[in-house]
Amino acid sequence: MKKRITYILTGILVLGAAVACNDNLNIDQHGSLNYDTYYKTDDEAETATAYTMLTLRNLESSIFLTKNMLSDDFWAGGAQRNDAAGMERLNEYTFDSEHSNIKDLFSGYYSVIYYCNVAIAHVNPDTRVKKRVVEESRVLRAWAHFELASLWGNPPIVDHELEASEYAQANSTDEQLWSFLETELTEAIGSGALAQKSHVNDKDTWQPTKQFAQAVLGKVYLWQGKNAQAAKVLDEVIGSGLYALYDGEYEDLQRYDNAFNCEELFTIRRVDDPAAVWVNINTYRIGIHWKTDAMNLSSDFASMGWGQCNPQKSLYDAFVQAEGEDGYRLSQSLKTYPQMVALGNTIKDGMSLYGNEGFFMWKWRRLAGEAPGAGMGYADTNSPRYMRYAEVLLLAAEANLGVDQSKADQYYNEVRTRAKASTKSGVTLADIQLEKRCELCGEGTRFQDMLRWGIAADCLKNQGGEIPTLDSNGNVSYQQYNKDSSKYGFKEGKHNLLPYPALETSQNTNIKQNPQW
Amino acid sequence: MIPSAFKRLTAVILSALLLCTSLHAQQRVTLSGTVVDALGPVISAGVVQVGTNNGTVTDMDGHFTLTVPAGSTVEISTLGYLPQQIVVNESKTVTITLEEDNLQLEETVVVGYGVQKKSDLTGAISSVKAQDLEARTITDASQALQGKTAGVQVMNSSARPGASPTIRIRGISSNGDCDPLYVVDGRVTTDIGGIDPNDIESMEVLKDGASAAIYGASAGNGVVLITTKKGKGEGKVSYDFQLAIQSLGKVPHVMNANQYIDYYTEAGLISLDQVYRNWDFQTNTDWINTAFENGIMHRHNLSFQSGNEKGSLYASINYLNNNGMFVGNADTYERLTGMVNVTRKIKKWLEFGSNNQLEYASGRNISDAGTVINSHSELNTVLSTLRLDPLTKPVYAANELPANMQLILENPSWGGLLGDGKGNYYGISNFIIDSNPNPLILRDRSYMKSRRMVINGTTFLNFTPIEGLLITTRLSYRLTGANEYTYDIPYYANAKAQQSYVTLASSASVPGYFQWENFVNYNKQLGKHNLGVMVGTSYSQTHNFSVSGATSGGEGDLGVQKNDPLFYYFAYRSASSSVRIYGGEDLFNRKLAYFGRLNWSYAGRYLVQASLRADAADTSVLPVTKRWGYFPAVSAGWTISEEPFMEGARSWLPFLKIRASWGQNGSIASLSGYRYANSIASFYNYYATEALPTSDGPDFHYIYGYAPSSSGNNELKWETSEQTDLGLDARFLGGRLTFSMDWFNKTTKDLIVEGLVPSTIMGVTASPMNAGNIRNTGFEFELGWSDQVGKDFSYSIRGNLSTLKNKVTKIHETATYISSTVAPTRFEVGQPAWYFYGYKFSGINSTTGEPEFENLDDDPTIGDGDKTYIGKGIPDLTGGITLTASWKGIDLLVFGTGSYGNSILCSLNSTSGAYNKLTYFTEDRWTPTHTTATQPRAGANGLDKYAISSASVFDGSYFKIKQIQLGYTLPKNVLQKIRMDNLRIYASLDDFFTFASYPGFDPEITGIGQSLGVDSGSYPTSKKVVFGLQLTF
Repeated sequence: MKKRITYILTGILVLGAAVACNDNLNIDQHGSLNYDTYYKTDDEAETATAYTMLTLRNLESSIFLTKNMLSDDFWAGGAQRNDAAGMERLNEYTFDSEHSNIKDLFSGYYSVIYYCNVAIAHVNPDTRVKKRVVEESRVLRAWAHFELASLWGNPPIVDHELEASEYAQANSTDEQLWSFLETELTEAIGSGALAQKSHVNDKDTWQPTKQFAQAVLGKVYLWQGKNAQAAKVLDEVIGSGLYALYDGEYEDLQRYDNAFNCEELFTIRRVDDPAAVWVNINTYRIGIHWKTDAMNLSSDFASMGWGQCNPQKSLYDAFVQAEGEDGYRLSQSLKTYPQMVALGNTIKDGMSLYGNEGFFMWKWRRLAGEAPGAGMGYADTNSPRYMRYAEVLLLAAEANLGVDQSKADQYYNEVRTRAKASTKSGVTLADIQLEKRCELCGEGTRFQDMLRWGIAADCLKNQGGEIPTLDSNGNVSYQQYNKDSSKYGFKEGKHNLLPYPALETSQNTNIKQNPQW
Repeated sequence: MIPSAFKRLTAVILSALLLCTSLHAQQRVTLSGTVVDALGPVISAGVVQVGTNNGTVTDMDGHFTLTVPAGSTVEISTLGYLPQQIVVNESKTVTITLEEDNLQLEETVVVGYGVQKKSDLTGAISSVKAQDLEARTITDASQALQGKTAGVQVMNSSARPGASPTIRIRGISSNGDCDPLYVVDGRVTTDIGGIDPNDIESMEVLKDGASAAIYGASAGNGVVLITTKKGKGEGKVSYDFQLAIQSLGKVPHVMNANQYIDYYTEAGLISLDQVYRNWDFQTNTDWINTAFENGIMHRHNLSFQSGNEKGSLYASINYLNNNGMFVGNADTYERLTGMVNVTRKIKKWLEFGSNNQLEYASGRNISDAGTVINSHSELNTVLSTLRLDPLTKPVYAANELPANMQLILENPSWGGLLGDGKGNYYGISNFIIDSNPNPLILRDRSYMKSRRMVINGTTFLNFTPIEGLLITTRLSYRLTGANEYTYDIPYYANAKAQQSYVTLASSASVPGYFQWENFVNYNKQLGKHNLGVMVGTSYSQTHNFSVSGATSGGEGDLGVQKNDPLFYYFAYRSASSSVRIYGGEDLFNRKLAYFGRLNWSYAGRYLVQASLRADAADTSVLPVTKRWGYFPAVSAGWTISEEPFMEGARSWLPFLKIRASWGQNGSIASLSGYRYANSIASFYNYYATEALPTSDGPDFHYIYGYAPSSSGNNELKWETSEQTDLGLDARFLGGRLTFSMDWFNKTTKDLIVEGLVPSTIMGVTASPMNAGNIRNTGFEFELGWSDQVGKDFSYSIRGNLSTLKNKVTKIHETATYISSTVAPTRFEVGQPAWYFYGYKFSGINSTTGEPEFENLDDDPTIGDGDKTYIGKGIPDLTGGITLTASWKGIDLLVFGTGSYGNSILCSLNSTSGAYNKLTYFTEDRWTPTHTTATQPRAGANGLDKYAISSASVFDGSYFKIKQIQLGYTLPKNVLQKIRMDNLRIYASLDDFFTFASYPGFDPEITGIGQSLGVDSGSYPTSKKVVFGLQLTF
């Protein structure tokens, strides 16, 4: 019997050892690829750019809402006071370094940079496509650094994937930063590898183009005050003949079916694909659309809108100054409440619109057809436009002030002509500032321009003092929520730069916080 | 005394060694016989010539033969029985009947892969026995640990029917998963929800590192061993019945209609005009009373058992039905469980056994802070009862609808009003626009039901080929079938609570688990030396397969063919509804381990134990190179009372032992899904894989984006907790007074930290990393007294108390703290885990009525730099006390538990909108005429800071009388007439009295994990009136 037991025992132990084989512990991961061997083919390389572009597309709301709120063009609205509390804090300059929008925007730009660095390090530029992927990644990386620089001043330069030991990066110096941007963009432009549109109406070039890179380089120069160099490179964009101002109705500029029109320099596409509705969540378009539940709207318009981002009267006044009360572009950019009523769009009886001074964004209105039903109102098919040719013309006009006034006049008037507004010669910086405010309202350029022009403190110092509410009878009343004027409004010397996120400064001992934060 | 004791120890060890080789040449006689107990032969009982290593062990039939010198004393002993000695002068055959050792100290205690005499334990193990589990209203066995064992904290994030509590053994030793490992009859599991507490024989909590180390990699948070019942004795049938009527316990006070109007007109958020237009000057709704009613729980347990030397059978069937306190049938839990435990001697050397639990459970629940229903994470029905204005009625008749509701009625395309089906509609506030409208709407807008069927079990074979050797092979398994079905219907309440279509979601999963373990125990008695060796292997696999889907309508698309519950299924979705599907893949997890343990004891006085376990994780958890973890442990005990020099003291000090242990455990519970790997994955947003369209022409195509999904960390390794424990056990006064205490120091190193944002410029999600250490230290005391007065009266008191100090001692060089993503809490060096991080409230400005905060940094404004420690959710002290008394057939039990030194951050107030508030925050508010107030003026600025300041932090200490039970057992003579063995009836008040200063619902139910101690509106504990019946025949 003992023998039998010994057999049983041995059997169990052998079986136990066999089952407990180490190999069973190696389990392959579904849906993933090996980092060391990926990015070898052209197609694989292109997925790197696609990833960066998708990352950037998802930053749409963060980029536009944050910058709009910081400008003097908009009020933070919503259902009532505190409904969009984070935006109110941006709008009224009561935010601090822990503000989540600031943090998200900051780290969002760095995530764009990270994915560019992945492509640059892992794609071997041995074919035409792979070379393009590397160069366009350098362009997007430079663009993100430029955005950071224009908002935060001296952000760290991150030009490779950081090891854990390298997370504590120091600020860049002005010299490092600008020379990095100039070099990267110049080399990418000169590489001959960047995509270009085949003709002015080419709608299929989805990659960042050579002209986009040149426009970014133009901004890099302009921000440094190198106007001549800026003028030169911006002239090249204009001279390429691949871009032109859209000549249809101005109010169609931001429409879904007008994406990739002849004046778009950098757009990331969304499509109306019933099978992929949920990838098109778009809180920017919902946020800037009217407060739909408090209004009776014509069925042309999407029924979900939060009214978080409403035009200030000062924007309307700027339009009036630029082109008169009956200006064509004004009528296609903004509507007054009486104009809305005339179009059949009213505030419901007894309701009021918080943070609304009696004006409604028309350029950014959301059409019903652009909010697919299956998206429950959250999806929007509109493609975010990150740069338009009109901006290039106005940048070029500004750069040419003191360089070539005739070109400055010409570019300025080109924009004015399309707006059906009067033209002039001898344009001044003030003309361009006014024009740019109107032409590009809500497109995320105003705040950085105000900082650069040095007019921010002047324009924004009272922001947050009185907040309007529009009643259904059309009356606007103002409420004072912030009572201590030392605690709201733009403060010169402090708000000229955004604060580095507290999350960064508390962990990164090498980074220096901006003054007064 | 100590030095002489050590001398003695040395002498003893030396003499023991010498004895092994000594020979005696006296006349030899043979003693043979049978050792039996009340049930039959006793196997493996030790038969030893006292003072020598000459001994043997009884065989399968209880027989033994031992040759000894004439006149020797032979001792017969085995685990759990009183030893007997006989003097042998001549050869003879005897039958020795061993009596069970009824002294508590001689209880056997289940340890990992074996059992030990309680007196031989060298680690810190607490037990909860069947009597603490019976006649309770607990439905989840882990609740039985509350207040009954020192060092175990039971926390609840929700007390809804079917909710399982969270157990913390000796503090918080990880910043991820801190749940202990449960081992049910050898089967490792994380979920014991399917075991009815009545089916449990005992629960052992392995608290110290050395005791738990045999479970190695998964034991870092302690181990709870659960032994289910085994059939004993003559056939017995038992039936238990319990009925509990549940009602709201502690109810917070919120503003009534007049207070509300005063407050918000004062704040300028509501105008009197608005009040006049929207209020009938009468309505004063108490939303808490609207939403809660009495709930009924009833349960039935029927069990059968019998057992003898050939085998045993325990079978039971249990039914539990709990309809919770929320009005209607939206919070229910129904569970049918069964248990079949059998053992059978197949051969003298072979025993077969199988323990199996069957479970069928289904339930519905309302949303609270502890649940997420159908991904509506912001929904919180409990919170809505505190925040809704009292000016709105819960229900309006169709002919008295206010204008806002009339408007909804006139626009059915918005989704429509919900109502009671009798022509009345649920009221909708004119003052508050929130995703949590009327709780009745929250209840009816959504329907969710979950069901699961589970077969759990362990089947084993025990071989005993030679004396002292036990070989076990056992297979444990868990087979589950679970499904969930949800629909949301069209309704309109306000802009934030509306839906004009139907959404459906459904999932089915069939996870399976098996665990195969083989281990060998060998015990050898050599004189007074007792040696034990155990070695074994364990291999386990979890397999998960699930499929889930969701469909949704949209604007202009109902989503289903007809707006009728009969059509709320995928099959009848509308053609244009959007569809999402998930799952459909096999996912595996596997683990492999080798382990071993050595025991040595001498004369029951000196006890030493050492163990080692090696664990390997699969590649979904850790990189191959870091796969293996090794977890050693040593422990020792000295039973001083067994020393000869203590003999004189035995009358008053029958037992005294000191013990010390050190051990390491691991944890990877926080990991899975290849999170250490920086492999390339496609772009995924919150909802779906996103791709980039390269054209919008008719033949557009997508490019998928591929990039590393995380930063990658190939250095990731096991989290290791290391624990030292010093303990003392004593019994005084003939065993009536028992006392034990422990001191422990538990340090968890290489904490696995996930979700850490070590940098905002790194640009990619950080992989989990080994970042930080955390230390828990504390004392634990357990004290018991039991006595009999006269013939009829007996009573007992058992109490326990534990202290805990928790401190984060280190965080990785890339980060100095970890911020919670879900609560205003932080994990930071030098502070307790997840302490409250906020502003220090310094008072109300007497001229403005605004709250003011301490300025802690250089910046003159109050900002993030001024946030600091404002409290912690971890108590300094927890404890429990149980009193029992019985007189003749009447018995009384009082059981209470409490905590001291913890804080609660009250997140019930909303800082925006015209939400109702706790009167605590409004009654003593600043007004121009009351400038010395303790609370800010209505509508003050900085209320957002106030909400995360020390002003919103409350003392969370409480004491709760969990049970006052009075029972009556019929006398034996009556029972005999009705042919019953036992019949007891009882009535009980459970969770009835709570002593606490916290103004919210229930200080016992707050957040857990990162929200530890943060009350954001959880389903509160009910107080229960209980009636029960226990009978056995």
